[in-house]
Amino acid sequence: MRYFNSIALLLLVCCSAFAQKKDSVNIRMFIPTSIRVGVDVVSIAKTEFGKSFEGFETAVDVDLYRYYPTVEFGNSASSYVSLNGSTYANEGNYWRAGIDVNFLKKDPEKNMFFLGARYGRSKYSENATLINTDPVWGDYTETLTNTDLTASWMELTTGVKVKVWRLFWLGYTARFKFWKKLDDSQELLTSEVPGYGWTDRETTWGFSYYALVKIPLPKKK
Amino acid sequence: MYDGTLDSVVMVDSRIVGLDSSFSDPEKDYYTNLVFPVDFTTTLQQIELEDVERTRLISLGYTVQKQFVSDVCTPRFFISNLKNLPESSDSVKILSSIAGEGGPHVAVYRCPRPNIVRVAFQQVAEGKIVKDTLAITETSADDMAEYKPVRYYPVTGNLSYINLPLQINSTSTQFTFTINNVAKTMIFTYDTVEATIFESCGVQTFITNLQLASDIGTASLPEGVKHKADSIYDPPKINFAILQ
Repeated sequence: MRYFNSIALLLLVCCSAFAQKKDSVNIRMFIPTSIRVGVDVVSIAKTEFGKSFEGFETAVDVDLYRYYPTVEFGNSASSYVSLNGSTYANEGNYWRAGIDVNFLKKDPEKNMFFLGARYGRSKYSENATLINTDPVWGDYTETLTNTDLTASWMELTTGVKVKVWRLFWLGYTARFKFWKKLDDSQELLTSEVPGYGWTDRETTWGFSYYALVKIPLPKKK
Repeated sequence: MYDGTLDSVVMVDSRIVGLDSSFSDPEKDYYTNLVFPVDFTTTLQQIELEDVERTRLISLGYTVQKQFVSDVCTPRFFISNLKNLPESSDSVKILSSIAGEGGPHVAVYRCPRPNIVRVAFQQVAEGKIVKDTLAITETSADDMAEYKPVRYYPVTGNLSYINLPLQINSTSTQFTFTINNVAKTMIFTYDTVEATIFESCGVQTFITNLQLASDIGTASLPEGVKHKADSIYDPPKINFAILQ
């Protein structure tokens, strides 16, 4: 009798837990209701007001309950001149794909405070004219070019996305970038990867500020 | 050295082939290491080390990668894949293939010198034998042309011992020292035998039956000469001790 009571209690707990789960997450919640498309305002501002950068970045996400699969695509070209006359320039496309998890589960507007992750990949070219004066080896000038290089990395992301007016949203994404993989077999080593940033450290940070439009998807009956 | 221990080497000159500069310190005779800049404008560098016995060639191949650093810094050069090329002397070994990182990158091994005999100067004080120091102002050998100048060994100054290179193509070597303006003579007699102890060193001439006749410290010789060791070691150990 005692064993029977124990088994009954166990079944009751299991069933109640299953019932609770069934109540809280409905499969219909995973049907997307909208697609959000945006552009990175920081890239536009850097292109407009900076001297060494040209580029853009777009982002698309879709809501699957509190999960937001996200794809970002960008293009950038950077150029630098050092004090001794050395130059470096790169140009390339990049994309990132990943998912954000919204922690504002009960917000009726689906405003977001999110944590997420990305896998990033960049295809780029670069060239440099390097100048050096050495007390032993004398003056040195060399121009080097790399084409069709690829790099990849991972990101942890966090940020907010907020509805500002009707279909228009604003939001930022802060990125912790790590686990970069570069082609380091070239004579010219990569200094900066489009979409990732400077390569002189193992990890780096990034920031995007998006202006977005939310496009509702037709509801399925 | 041949067994991997750190050696102290008398260096006459050290230079990079193609450069006029010497990388030896004119004030310094003994070296345990030398530092050379790597030529980042090419992928081959040759270094000549001239010591007492011979001149060694170190021929190195390597990879140079370049990188733009920032708008305020000069370019960065990464030297890697350091390789010992066939032109190098057979005693050159690569220890670390990435230049710039800590620790030695290239080791140069040498064969043991089988002809350096060490004579120590000692005295009796309070019933004990203790180290003595002699002020030697000049040292010469009977046949200076036969081997490299003895100035590369500590043979003048206030010395408590003296390392003397014996002629291996003879069975006696005579040294003359000037001590307090008085010339003193040491004559070493010995036999020689050829043998291959270390394969990479080939046939070497070793010294046996080493004997000393001397008028240094005339009052106590030959009784004052203590025969300490028959074998010649490298680095040298005391073979004879002379009591003053």
